[in-house]
Amino acid sequence: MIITKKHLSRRTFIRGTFGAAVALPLLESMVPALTAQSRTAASAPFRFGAIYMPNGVFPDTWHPEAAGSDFQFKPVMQPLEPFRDQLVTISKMKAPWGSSVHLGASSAFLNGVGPVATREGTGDAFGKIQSKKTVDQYVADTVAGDTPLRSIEVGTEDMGTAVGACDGFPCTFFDALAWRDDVSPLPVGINPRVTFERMFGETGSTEQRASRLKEKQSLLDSVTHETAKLRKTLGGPDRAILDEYLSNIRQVEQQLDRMESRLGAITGNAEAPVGLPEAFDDHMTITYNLMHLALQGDISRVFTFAVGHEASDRGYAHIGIPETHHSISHHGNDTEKLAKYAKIGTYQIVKFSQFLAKLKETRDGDGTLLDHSLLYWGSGMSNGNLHDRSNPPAVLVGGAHGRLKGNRHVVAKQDEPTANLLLALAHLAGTEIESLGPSSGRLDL
Amino acid sequence: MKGVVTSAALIFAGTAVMLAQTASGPRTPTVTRARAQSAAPARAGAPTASAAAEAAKHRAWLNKNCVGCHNSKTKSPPEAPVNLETSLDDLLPQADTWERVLRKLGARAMPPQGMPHPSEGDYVGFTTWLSGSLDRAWEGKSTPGRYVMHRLNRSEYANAVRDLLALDIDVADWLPSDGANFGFDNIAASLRTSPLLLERYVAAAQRISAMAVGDPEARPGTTEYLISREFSQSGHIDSLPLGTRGGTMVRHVFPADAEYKLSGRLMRGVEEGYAGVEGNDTPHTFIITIDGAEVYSAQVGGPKDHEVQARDMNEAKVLIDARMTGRVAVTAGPHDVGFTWKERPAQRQDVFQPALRDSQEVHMVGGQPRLRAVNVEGPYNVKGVSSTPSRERLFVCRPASAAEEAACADKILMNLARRAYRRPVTAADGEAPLGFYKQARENGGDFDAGIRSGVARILSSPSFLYRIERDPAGVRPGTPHTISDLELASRLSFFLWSSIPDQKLLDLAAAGRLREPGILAAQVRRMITDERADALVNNFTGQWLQLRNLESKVAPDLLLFPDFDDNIRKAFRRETELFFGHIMRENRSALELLSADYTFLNERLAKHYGVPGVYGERFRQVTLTDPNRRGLLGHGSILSLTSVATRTSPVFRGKFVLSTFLNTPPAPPPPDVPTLEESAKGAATAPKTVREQLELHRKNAPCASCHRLLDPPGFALENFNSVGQWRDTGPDGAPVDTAGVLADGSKVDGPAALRNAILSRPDAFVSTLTERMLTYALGRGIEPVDMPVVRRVVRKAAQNDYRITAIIMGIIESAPFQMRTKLEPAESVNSVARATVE
Repeated sequence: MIITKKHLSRRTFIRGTFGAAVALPLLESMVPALTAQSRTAASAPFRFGAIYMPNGVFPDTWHPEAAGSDFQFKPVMQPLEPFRDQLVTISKMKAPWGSSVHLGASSAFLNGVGPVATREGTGDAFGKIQSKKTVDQYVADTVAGDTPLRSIEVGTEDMGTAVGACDGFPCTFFDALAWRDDVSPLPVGINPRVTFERMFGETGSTEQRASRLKEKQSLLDSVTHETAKLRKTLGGPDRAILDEYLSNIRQVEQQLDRMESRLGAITGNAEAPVGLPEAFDDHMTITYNLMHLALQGDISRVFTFAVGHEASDRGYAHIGIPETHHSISHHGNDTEKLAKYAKIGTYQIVKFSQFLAKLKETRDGDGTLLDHSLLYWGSGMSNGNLHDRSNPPAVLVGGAHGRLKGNRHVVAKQDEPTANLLLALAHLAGTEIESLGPSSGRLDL
Repeated sequence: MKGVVTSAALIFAGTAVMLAQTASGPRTPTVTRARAQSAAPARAGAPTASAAAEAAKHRAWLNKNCVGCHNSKTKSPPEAPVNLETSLDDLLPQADTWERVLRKLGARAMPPQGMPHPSEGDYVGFTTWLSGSLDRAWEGKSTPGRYVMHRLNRSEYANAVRDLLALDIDVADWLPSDGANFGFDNIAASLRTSPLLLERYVAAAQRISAMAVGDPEARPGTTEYLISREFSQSGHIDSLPLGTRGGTMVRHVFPADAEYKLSGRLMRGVEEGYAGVEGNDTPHTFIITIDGAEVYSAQVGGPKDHEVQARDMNEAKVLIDARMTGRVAVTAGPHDVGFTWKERPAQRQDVFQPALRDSQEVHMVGGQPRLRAVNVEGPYNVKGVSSTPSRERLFVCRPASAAEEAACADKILMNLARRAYRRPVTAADGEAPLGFYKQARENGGDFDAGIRSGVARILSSPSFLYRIERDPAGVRPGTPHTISDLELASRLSFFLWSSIPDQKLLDLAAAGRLREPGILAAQVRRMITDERADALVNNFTGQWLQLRNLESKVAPDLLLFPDFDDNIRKAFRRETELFFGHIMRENRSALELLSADYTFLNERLAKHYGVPGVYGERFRQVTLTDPNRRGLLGHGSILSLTSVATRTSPVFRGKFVLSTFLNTPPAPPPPDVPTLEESAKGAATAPKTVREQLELHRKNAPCASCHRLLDPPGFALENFNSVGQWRDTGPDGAPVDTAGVLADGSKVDGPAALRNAILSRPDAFVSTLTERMLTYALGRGIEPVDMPVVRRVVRKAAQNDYRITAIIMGIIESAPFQMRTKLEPAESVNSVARATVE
């Protein structure tokens, strides 16, 4: 079935997944088939997810007072109490400036660098799209294996509707947390339906799906030949563009090949649930559910999720905050605004904890999905009022295959770069790199 | 292609004339000689004694007015220090800085307030000399700029599909958003690819081809169109039949001739948890129309429904949902499907309506039913696929026998490829699509299935997805050359239509006639009046004025602004788009964007503004009597975009005016900028008011340098509340204080005064508009090397009353639009993105 819509809104529902319910019953019923190849304990893969919180979290409402074990949770982090045994929170680090107030916070989140170009002396006309490979991509190098999607990048909003708000940089720096290499940003996909289709392929009967997949593969193959010929006739920079194009085609080809080998495993009519949900809360839930499904079905082992883009202007009316997130983060130490700022943080932590609960409930080899995962939830700034890079929130949850001892509040050396944490995350995932961006060593977890 | 050579010569002549006119004396620079001249750094004309005296005079002027702060030692401003002690003999190494100086001085924003200001004559004298010197310095060194292959962005892709296949698609559902830069999403160097995007391109090609050909195999599914909860439905909705109330109209593409279940779902209140029916005590007639004709009607509400609902709301829900579903036979292709209510105005008058927005109440037993969503489900009992606009466009032949099939397929696909690739096609271009046609036939598909597969292949081609321009053989790297007529046709159509050239334009270009005398101007006129030029209006204003952000960013607190609804939000955008479109198509002055004593309103928006005498849903031109409401500064779109949920933001408004209209954006706040509260710490006496706080804040130099400029234009607009309505008193009940001093020292006290201050130096505003439009037209960032072009376009437009079409034509005739430079083989896309001054 071709899904179309126009004029009104961005939501296309498929029969049966209607109304307020946002659970994905159809999807969940597919999972047993997906994971039919039973995994032994030894082969349960390592999963990594990074979740980005825009506009920071006020440190006084976040970081525990006491270091070490059995610390007291502050209010915003409180909903993570049930996961204490598999949780490590880190304070006193310093996040990099990353060239710009907001853009720098998110674009440096996973590589400690952000845009390589700086504004200095260049006026407004610079458009260099260059950063550094991010930690999730290093991790994917090690753990992705033969999963159809090497990594998934998702979000709930992008700069498509935030014209003129990219701080004078290419908006890609706002849209992408992950960089496959120094010049290849991986922007977030915000449409759950698109994410679903990337994970499971087109909707339709099994034969229709198989034939569409076959045609897709032939199309890509044929386009590759055409592009290679075209490339020879063009000049330097245009060739570079086609090289990027070709390398991305290859990525998709590999993805489809790996998906093909699993096609038979998906039985029944896999019908995509939704387009862009109208309610933000639904959008959050569906996106987390899709990530859960990706990990559970071993469709991908690495994801990044921007719950909003940095400087997000989203209102949180559904929890009684009609003002935009960004304006609330500039609280001016006003008590009421600080309370709202904390409430938004808490809401996000509740959504995160619901996701964690699902991972914990899901069997995976000899343990749970959470046992075999490492989730990093954090932001590129602490006090949004000052865009303060000191003491940003950073919490790790998950057993990480027994490599992470929980129930700890780790106090870093004062102003230790967050890149040191990123290096530690890579090592936890078994990716032996020596440094990452401006890291001065590995954070002692 | 002999035509190209002739036309190239023509345009070279034109360019030379254009550049020569920027200089004071007779010179003969041509762009083709750029390399040779820059190799031998002889500036046009050796400095004469009088020129030297002239330079010394301006040096002294700079030293007196600027160098006190902007020198090699004091880093001012700290985030991007400017040093104006550098030589005036050679401006190009610092061309960037000098352009910035021109912008600041053009707005009279320097020297800062509190410092002695030069006389107006002195300002004009210096800026005229500086801009003229820059123009002369670039002469012979100018390049048309550097282009890389341009990927179609989302809206270009959708428009191209519309023009190729007569198919309206909502591409935002299928493709990820494009990376933007310089404020626009059509910047070539920013339109990168990702695995996500490429996978979506192929998926989209498959679906679009199926929609175009029609799909008798389509499986039933449901498409739901949601109506915003904030959308009021108490009145007639534009495009629905007269005599109806509320509801919505959707254009749905039906995959096949078949039966479809069309249904409406009621708004049920309490965030959908309430299962009852609003207005259920009286009967209402729900109707469904297809292309204007009623195809289904049902009665909802009345004593019986009321009784069921009183007994069991869930039972009533099932009952009414079923009754609001009609099973209707529909032919394949796009149809306008309306879902609405027959109006009973006489019975409306006793309904209590506390606000203009009708979505306030939790539920209204005595009110009116409204639609929350409409659905199209199907197809069922497929009969086949009859004629559709897409099929008529696509199938330029029908094979009468199996023997004719191959030739007909070839004709269909080659015809499509020519339009899709925007150039004459060769047999080699046809190989791949025809291969897909054959493959589909071998796999057992019929003729249509083969064509569908071929269409999918064409839509997946880089020749469709990229705008490719080629350098003629034998041209040396770094050498500018005129682009071909075909390339020019694409530049024109993507600038004016955000789409592919039409047959007429393509034919002219293929015949090499596009640059014949009068032809280009006539084509541009034709294109601007064509409705496809709505794309220029929507995409350009959507981004220059940020109207695209209305949906995502304008969310006034509904309790504070009970009249604000989605109808108003949509009307805001419509008003500004109609306004800009009118000024463009009626060939009016760009200054009317700020000064026009008219705007475009419908009843709802007129009521919102307090403009009397406007009735009905249709927008029409309305003369404004209140001078404060004139022009863009009185548009609700801009006033609401620069507000926050609960109040106006003078800082946002000030920033908008400075950036969008005057091209003097304030620098972003530096790292660790102190807040108002922190600025107050350590003060001898604690500040009591916000004004006192701000004053302390401004004692911190980095804060002051921006807020001194930012706040006054914002304060001048304080008479408009955050949803664009006039007010004389603020939320605290005190009279609104709009007084302030602009950067140029002019005192303003309200919207009209602010507008007049901006218009007192129209060049600053028109330059900004021109620079933004040039960026949009070229799809690249503007560099100092382009500024002589901007100035030339503005000068020429000024002689023509600043008409927008003069600006558009000036851009189209300029060297950057007509030419390209062959790039060095080693240049990367990133180095093109940031084209450096050579």
